[in-house]
Amino acid sequence: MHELSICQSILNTIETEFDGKGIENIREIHLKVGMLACIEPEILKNVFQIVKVDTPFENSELFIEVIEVAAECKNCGQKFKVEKYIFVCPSCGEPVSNVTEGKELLISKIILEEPSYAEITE
Amino acid sequence: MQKLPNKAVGTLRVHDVSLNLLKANDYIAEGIREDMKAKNILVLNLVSSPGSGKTSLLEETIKKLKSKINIAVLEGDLETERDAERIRQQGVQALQIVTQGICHLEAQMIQQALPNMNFDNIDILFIENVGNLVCPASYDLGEDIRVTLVSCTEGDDKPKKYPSMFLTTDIMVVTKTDLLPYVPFSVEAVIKDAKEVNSKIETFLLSSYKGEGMDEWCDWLLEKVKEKQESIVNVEL
Repeated sequence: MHELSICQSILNTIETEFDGKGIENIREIHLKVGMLACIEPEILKNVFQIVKVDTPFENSELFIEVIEVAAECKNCGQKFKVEKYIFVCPSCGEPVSNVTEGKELLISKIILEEPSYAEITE
Repeated sequence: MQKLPNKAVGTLRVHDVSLNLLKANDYIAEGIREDMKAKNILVLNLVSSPGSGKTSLLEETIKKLKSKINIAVLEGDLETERDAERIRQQGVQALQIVTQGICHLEAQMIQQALPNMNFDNIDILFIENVGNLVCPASYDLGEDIRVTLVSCTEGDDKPKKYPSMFLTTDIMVVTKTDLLPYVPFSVEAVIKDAKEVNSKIETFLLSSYKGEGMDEWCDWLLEKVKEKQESIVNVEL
């Protein structure tokens, strides 16, 4: 349900980053969304399709990479994928608190199409 | 000289960035935390499914503690002022945030509400979040302690079904324990699952209705208020 808030945050974050300039040239917005971010990628994409209408973001598309949950054991240093949300080191059985991946909710890449030389001089 | 076609494809330029989408929320939350620290107030964010007993727990907590400390409450709900009215009947200050359909509280809503409250001599601010175990997990409200309620009538499988919430929770409160004899809820199982998700979680078992476990909970709250005030005094020294 908070996909709409996140979608609004995508637009605001990019507007701030680009100082509101050249946004109509953006073609692709790539996100990294961790499994723990409580975001459903398909819903977010659908919301984006609706929100972008009549904004400078109209020509851009959203691409979402889902990041699985991973952690690193402080006791033995083992790095592992967290399966079934059991945050316990598979090697030494120590409970882990430092989740290294899976909490992400960020824009990782923005691709712009800049007008060609021919178009500019025309 | 060959003329370039008019509709030449533009140059694609890739910007590698790392822009956190919750940065604005986290920034505001940090401001609230600083502000509340300066005012010497312990802030708790209460989250749970709808109907787990957040408001009932607050009512009973206020009854037990209002002679000892000063409490203020921020209530979050999609609609109605009902919860804030229930809290006001206990004689403490309560402000209702009506989110009008938004399923969680955000730091900005708290920031806007705070100037409408009087924090003179307040020791604890409870923020009662919208009943929802999903979205509130992602939004830091500037609290010191996040408390998640699980009522025994809703089942002992909540920690594994909503891991993000339990991963960001400090305290789990199992409520409605007076109903334990009548429902298939295993206290052992809920604690085991919660600890698998987050080994640091501490657990309270209580019944707001019958009163069992309320003394332990209230004593713990008083202890936390004291800890926070002492930590601030130590910094000042």
